[in-house]
Amino acid sequence: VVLRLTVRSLCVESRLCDRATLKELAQRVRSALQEIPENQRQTLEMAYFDGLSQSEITEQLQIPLGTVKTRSRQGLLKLRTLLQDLVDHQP
Amino acid sequence: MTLQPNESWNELLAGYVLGDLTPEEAVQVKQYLEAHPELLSEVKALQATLSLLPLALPETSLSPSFGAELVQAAESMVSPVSAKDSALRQKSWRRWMVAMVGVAVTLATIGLGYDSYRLRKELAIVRANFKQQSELAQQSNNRLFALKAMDKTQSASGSLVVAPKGQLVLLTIQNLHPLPPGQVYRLWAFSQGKEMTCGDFNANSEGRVFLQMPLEDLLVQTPNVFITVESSKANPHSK
Repeated sequence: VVLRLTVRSLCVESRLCDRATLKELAQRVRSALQEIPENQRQTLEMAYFDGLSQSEITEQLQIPLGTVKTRSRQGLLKLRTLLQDLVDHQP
Repeated sequence: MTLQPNESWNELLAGYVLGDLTPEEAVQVKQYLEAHPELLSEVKALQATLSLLPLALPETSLSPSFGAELVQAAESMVSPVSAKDSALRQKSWRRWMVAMVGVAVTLATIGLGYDSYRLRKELAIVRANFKQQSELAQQSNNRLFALKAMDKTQSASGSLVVAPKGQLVLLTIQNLHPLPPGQVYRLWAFSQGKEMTCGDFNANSEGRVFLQMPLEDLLVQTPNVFITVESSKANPHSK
């Protein structure tokens, strides 16, 4: 076995899931996405909703690859902060 | 978490999870994580954040032209990786393609065969898969699981939606190393001393996996699922 993944329910690990349905969770994630800067949201959406590679995003937006990476990373970090109560591990 | 890494390390950790580090940066991050194992919880939090992202897909319908786009993408698809024989694979693929067009047009949930796909031509499928996973995860009785790498040096993460009503399972993984020919990733379910294989797949050139497969009873019963690397020639299908 070279690689092994475990699977855990998000609801087991999150505080919100105890009292919220997945639909509410989806709304929460959607709201968080709206709170991050538009250019960061755009690169994340192009990569993870539209399935574009970073070089394709670079081409479409006419911006350097480094900028695409920076926006994606900063966007993910902001989302992580906004969804902290969902994604932090329980003590 | 008590330790806060500085801004540049935070960005590198995000890049590690997103899978966009240069080889040199990846080495740096792995060394840094070895020296600061307390930061692994931050990596896990970032992976969990990324796993939640499909939930944020808009609920609006896809455009009517999307069905044609799917068919076009499907027709030009390279051959998938699967342990099943080619006849079954073809059948499975056609059924899957029909299902995805159905999703595009009606947004209905249809449980069909499985396969994995790669390279650029998959983009339309990828879009539909994410959308379908998001919609499935929001339906009642369905379960969304987060996948975590067992090996702390791996940055692979993903999510699994189990939809009993639709009799299907959707698997999404990112940052998984593509395997060379002759090897496949294998999804296993394990419960009460029994184990069974649920499907074989490979990551695409960007390390992503989008896999739809029929729901097996064991997957309904158990939250214990794992993925191994196996030879593509041997699939015991143990049940």
